[in-house]
Amino acid sequence: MQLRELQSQFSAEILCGENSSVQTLVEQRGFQATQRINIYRNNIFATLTDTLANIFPVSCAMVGEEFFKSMAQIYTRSHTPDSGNLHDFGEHLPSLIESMPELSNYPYLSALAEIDWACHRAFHSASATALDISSLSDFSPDNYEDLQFEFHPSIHTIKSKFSIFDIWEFATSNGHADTIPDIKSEGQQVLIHRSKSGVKVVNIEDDLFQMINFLREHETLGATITSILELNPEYNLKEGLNRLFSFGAVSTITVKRRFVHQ
Amino acid sequence: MVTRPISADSVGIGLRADHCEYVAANRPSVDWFEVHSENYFGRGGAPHDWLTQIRQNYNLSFHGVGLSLGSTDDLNVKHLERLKEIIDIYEPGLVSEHLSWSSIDGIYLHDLLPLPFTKETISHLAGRIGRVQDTLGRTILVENASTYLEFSHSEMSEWEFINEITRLSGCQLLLDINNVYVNACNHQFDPIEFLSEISPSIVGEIHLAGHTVKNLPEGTIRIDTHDQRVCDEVWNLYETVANRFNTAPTLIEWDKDLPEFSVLMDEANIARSYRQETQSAAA
Repeated sequence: MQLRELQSQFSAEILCGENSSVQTLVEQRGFQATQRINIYRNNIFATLTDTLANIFPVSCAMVGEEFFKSMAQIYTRSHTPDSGNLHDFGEHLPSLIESMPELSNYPYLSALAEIDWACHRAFHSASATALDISSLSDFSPDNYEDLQFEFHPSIHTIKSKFSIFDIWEFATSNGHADTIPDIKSEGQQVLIHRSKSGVKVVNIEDDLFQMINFLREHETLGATITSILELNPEYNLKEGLNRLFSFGAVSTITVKRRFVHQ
Repeated sequence: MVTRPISADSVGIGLRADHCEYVAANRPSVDWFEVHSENYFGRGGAPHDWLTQIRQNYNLSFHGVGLSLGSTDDLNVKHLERLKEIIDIYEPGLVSEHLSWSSIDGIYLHDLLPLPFTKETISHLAGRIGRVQDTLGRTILVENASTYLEFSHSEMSEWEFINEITRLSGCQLLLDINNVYVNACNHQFDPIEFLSEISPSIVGEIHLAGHTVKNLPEGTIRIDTHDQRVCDEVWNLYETVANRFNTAPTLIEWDKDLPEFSVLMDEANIARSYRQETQSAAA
């Protein structure tokens, strides 16, 4: 058997449990070929399950290790790893959670898993300067409207129709989904950021969530303010900006060039 | 940061995330540290902060687990390029990977899977190792993997396979003595014969680690778990060959159920004492 054929069949046997002709090529030496192949299958699934449990510790605690383990096996088969770096594995686990009928009584779990994933990405993301709000004074007030912000690579924002920050707080105190208090009906938004003391999850108001989205789409500060005030004329912009900078969320500020017609 | 070769009589320790803070704060007396390359594929954060600090005082070795050298898929150029980037940043004294495969048809199984010892495999692997060395601009080391099965269509012994790959590609061998012992037990060969057939000139590093003995009704299988101390039989093999392979530095590996750092220091000191004993005996 050619090497490529052997590898394809071995992989299919590991992932799908199909009996393949690789079995006929295994030196048995007292064991059945399937027993020897099973050692690899067990090692592979143990590695990938442990990896997911490490990346999604809060989701794992909420559903319990046993359930998480069975979910990890389903995920590994439906979303086989496509990178040689294990830290890339798990991106689509929130979608799987959302689609699992067994979890339909816990509809907030996929957002919780999204936060776990965002924390993992934030932990490994590039380092960058975290600007203080006083950096704005480096620019002339005449330019404020044209300012554009680059965000710190660790910044992630997640919006849920559930009180996801309260649930996250409950879950990180080692809570299990079966003992969760009543879920509030109003939604919440969280921001994930990394500072010197580690990765943090904070609760942010919807207006700030929207403001970050506008700025991330490279809207200018002026256009962002207009859009935010249209959504909520009462929003305290100064406080919002202060909070944004206090999270170390902004790493670069530039002035957008205007096209000048002559 | 000064890059020096890792000296032949030195003993390093595998560095894992849980020990970084201790190492950076206490600067223990360790000759060098080996890290898993992929743990530094992220662009920043705590892993890089710790490694940058530790690199100021220690030489490093980068040990990869995800390049899938034996795979018949195209070489993962993105993976290799990121490896090159972190090599350029940290300037490790050694760079190594495994004589195994872990991916096929774009799917990564994340295990060190066995290869048949055939001329086809040799030609494939030697070519891939050559390309990796050309891209990185340096010689790499490849480790003999622990295996739980062998293929009946293999055309030669594992040591003949290794010798031929190193000869054709110009790479060096990362000789894992624990893996030789595990394979000798699992596939019923004499580990001394294996070690005596490996030329000292190709060995660039030695690995020592602990493994798990799994007793089944049909017999015993040894699994390379890296979760305990090096067993007596592997220490005996190390003592037997320490003088023969005295041009290669030694590393203590421990990946799961990490103990206190002092246990790893203890294992490194045992390795060092075997080295010194055999050197004095030779003198």
